[in-house]
Order: sequence, then C-alpha cells, then structure tokens
Amino acid sequence: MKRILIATIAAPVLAAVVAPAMAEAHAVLVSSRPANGATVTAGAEDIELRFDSRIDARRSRLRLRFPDGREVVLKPAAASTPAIMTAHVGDLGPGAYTLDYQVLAIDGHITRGAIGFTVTKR
Amino acid sequence: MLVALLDTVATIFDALLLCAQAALIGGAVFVLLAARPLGTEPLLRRSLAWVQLSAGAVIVAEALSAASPLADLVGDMGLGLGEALSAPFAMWHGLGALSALAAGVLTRTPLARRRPAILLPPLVALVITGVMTSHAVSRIDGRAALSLAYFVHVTAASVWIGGIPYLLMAIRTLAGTPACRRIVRRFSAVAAPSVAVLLLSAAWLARVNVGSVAALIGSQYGALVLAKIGFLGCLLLLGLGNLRAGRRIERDGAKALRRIGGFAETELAVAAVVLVAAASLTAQPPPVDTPGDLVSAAQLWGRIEPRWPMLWDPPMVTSAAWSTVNHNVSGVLVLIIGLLALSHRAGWAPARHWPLLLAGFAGIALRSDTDCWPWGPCGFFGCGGGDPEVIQHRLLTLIPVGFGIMEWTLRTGRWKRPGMTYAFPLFCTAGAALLLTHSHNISDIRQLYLVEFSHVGMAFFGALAGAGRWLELRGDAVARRWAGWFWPLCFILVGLILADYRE
Repeated sequence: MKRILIATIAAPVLAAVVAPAMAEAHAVLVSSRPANGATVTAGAEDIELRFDSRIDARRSRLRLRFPDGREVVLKPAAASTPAIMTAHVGDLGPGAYTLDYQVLAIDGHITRGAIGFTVTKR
Repeated sequence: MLVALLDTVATIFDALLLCAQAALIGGAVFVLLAARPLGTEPLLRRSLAWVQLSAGAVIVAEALSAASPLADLVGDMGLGLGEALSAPFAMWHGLGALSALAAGVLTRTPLARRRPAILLPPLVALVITGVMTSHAVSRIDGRAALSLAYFVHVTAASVWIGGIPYLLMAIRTLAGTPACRRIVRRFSAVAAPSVAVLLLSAAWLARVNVGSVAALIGSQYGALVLAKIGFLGCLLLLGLGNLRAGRRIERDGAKALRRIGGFAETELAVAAVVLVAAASLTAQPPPVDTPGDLVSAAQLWGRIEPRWPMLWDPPMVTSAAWSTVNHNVSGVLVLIIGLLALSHRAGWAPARHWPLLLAGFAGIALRSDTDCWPWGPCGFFGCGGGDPEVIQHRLLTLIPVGFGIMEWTLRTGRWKRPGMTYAFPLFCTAGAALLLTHSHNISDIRQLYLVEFSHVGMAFFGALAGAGRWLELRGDAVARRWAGWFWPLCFILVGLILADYRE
C-alpha cells in the first residue's frame, strides 16, 4: 500500500518534470497598441497585444495588411510576461492598416482577430 | 466558416474525452471500493474489461482532441508539424494518452485484480494532464488555487458520474444477491461525498470565473454555467431517489433495484449532456475577463420578451427575418407536438399520431438558409463545397423527420421492434448535446450571445425531454407515471422558446 501511495504522489510529479514547460489557455484580447480604430503617426511602430491569459507567442501569428493590399508576416518578439505578444514594424506610410492575429492559447484553442488602425503623416 | 465547424468538432472531441475519462476514473474507483471488496469474480472481470475499454477510449479521445487545433496550426497558421506537435497542449494530450495506456495495461495484470489501487497513479496523472490544458493554468493570477479546484472538481465528477455505468453493470450481473445490495449501498456512500465536493468546487470555480450575477446572465459562459446548475439539480434529484431506494433495498428488494436502475440510466444520459456543456464551457472565455462584452438584463429581456411568433415572411425579407420565421414556425410545430403528446398521455388516443408532425421539419430544412437551394444560388449545403453553419442547420432539421416517422411506426404498432423505442429519447438527448456545441458565424460577442442564449435553453429542456422519455420507458411504475407527463412538458417549453426566438 505504501508503494502505491508513493507512486500516486510520484506520478504527477514525474508528469510535471517530463512534461513541456507550461501550456497556455483560451485567450481574449484585453488591449492593444495601436488600439483598434486608433490613428498613429508615420514611422516605426512597436506593436503590443495584451491577452487575459497566457499565450504561446512562439506558435502564434501576426500579419500586417498594408493599404496597398500587401501582407507581411511579423515575427513576435519575446515579451516580458506570458500574456503579451509584441512585434516591431518599421516605416509605416500613411493609410489604413489591418493587423490580423492568430493566437494559440494553453488549452489548444486558437483566438483570431483583427485590429484596424490608420497611419497619418508626421 | 470552416473555423466555426472546426470549433464545433473540437468541442465534441473534448466532450468525448471528458466522458471517456469519467468512465475510466469512475470505473477504477468502483473496482477499488466496490467490485473488488464486495463483488464476485465475474463482476470484477467485467468491470476491469470496461476500465480497459475506457482507457482505449481516452487514448482515442486525447488524439482527436489534440488533432483539431493541430490541424489548425499546421493547415491555417503554417507551422511545421514538429513545431505544432511540440506545443505544450499537444504534449499534455500525449501524456494524457500515455497515462490512460498505463492504466489500460495495468488492468491486464493479475496485480490489478488483487490490488486495484495500482490503477490510481496513472489516473491522477491523467487528471493532471487535463488540468494543464484548462483555463485554470492559463490564468495570470491565482493559478495554483484554480488548478487545485479544477483537479478536485474533475476527480469528484468522474468518480460519481463515471461510476454509474459500473453500478448498472453490478445490478444486472448480481441482481437479487446480497452482494448487489452491498454494492449499491457502497456506491451511494462514495457518490454522496463526491457530489458534495463537486458542488463546493463548482461553486468556487464559478465565483472566480464568472464573478457576478450580471455575468451569469449576461454571457455565454454564464448561460452554460446556469444550464450546468440546472442539470446538476436534476442529477441530484435522481441521485436522491437512488439514495432513498438504496436505503430500502433490504425491504423492497427487486422493486428498489428496478427503481435504481431506471434512475441511474437517466442520470447517465443527463450526465453525458453535462459533460458536453463542460466541454463547451472550456471553449468560452471566462466573463470575468470580458466585462465589456456582457449583455445587460434589459437587452436580454428585449430579446426573450414574449411576443407573437412570426409565421410569415415580412414584405422586406432580411436574413434575420427569414431565420426568425424558420425558428418560430419550428417552435409552433414543437409546441403542438408537446401538447398532443400530453393529450395522448391524458388518454386521447388520436393524439398518438403526434410524431408525424416532425415531418414538418423537412420544410424547415429546405427554408433554413436563403442563399441555398432551392432559394438561392448555393447548393443544398451552402456555397463552395458547404457552409458549416448551413450544414449544421440542415442536418439538425432533417434528422427529426426520420426519427418522427420511426417513432410513429412504433407507436401505432406498424413496426414491432421494442428496442427501437429507445432511439427517440437518445435522439432528443444527442440533439440537445449537439445544440450546446452549435456555433454561429457572428463576430459581435453580444449579438452572438443573444442568439446562443435560446439555444442553451432549448438544449436544456431538450435533454430533459430525452431523459424523461427514457425514464418513462425504463423506470419503475411510479417513475414511469410522472415521467410520462414530464417529457411532453419539456417539449412544450422547447416549443415556446423557439416560437419566441428572434434574430
């Protein structure tokens, strides 16, 4: 019985050790920079998306649609907290942009959304 | 649109996983606490065989549950297969499958017969892998407490609900023997504290994830929690009936066992729908995180306030008006069916033909979407090879036609297959479960909730109608009597919700 008890306690510990670093859960966009519908001045832009829960930024995707219809996939950078996804984009000219995001959350759910913003001349 | 269908399929797979997991854990605990110490060799052998089968089901369900998001990551988001498979959620699903495999292999060893407790370590690991793919660990704050509460919640639910099929097996295998009575009493002794723990952990999780009464009635998550509370109330009533019958088992003997059997089977049907609701809940963001997206009580009342149903298309037909007419006409149809079934129960013989009215859903299936054949340019299942929402609508409305014809031939004696009478309650329950996973392509969360709210209500009463009819067929004389009145009333309520539905 004692061995069974030890195994009962050891199994989850072992599972935790062998298992990957923490998984993430269903995410909801809490805030963003730029915000949806915001107007920013031309030039480089640091993008930041903040979610309500931990996300797997490495396996998430950000795509910027330019006013001329071009699309660029942005590389998410490592953020200070696991609920934030950041990326840097340079030289944005005037016009209407859309930032599409596909975010993988811990339980395997994928959150999709789009943020529209306008860039004006300096 | 494909995303909506994938979400629905993913929720169904998650529900399958919860059901298989409950059968595995509940079975192992039943073997440990009831079948091994109190049962006979045939019962122990059969129970272990079911545990093994459940372990296999968990492995398949883990694979299916992981497959849907993996397909999304690789197909839609362009990740390499290796990178997708190394995602934490996929690894946890893999570990869950390995835990179930370990439990399944252990059941084949002689040691599992002598000391069934050896099954517990892999099962604890299995629950942990489930916790690691839940909302609880993803939270930014309070993860440890939430994870612990979720672990306790899932374990208690699995021990109770998952043990029910094994209890039924014991009743059938050992009917009338002293061992059977002892097992029934032992099961009650295990189930009662499990239910208490389940309720406490559920209350705490709801308080943390929902946060307020406004969120309870103003969000899809809250509506599903309310449905779970309602289902749980029904399960408790049935459980209480079992508990009372269990106490009288020495005096009433076979009569008590028949009552317990009927109640336990009905409990199982309702519990399966609860697990689908639980899986559907995991696909919703907790409202505590989305306070800006809550629907107010006034907005909700504005949508459900009783009004005369819209039975004809208005002069200027919008897609919302078209859909409202479809739902309202369906509602009137279901309402009449419920009233006729009630009249038949009251003794009016001509009302026995009520199942024929289900054929009316063929017309609703044709009308379900304006862009599709025969009204618009798209095919029967939508444009471009099929629209998931159209497919769901058309299949969900066509299925009742077949079941209606079958039920009519059975009720009027044209087809004599007593076993097929169970198809109708099973269909009602499965349909209700499907409604809980049903999704609409509406990007506005508030509008989406206003549409989905009535679906949750219909699923609730639809599941109860199925459970009631099942009890009428399988319960003892007393249960049969009141269940015969109960399920037509549930049909009437589904009809009223549908007749009042609007988009």
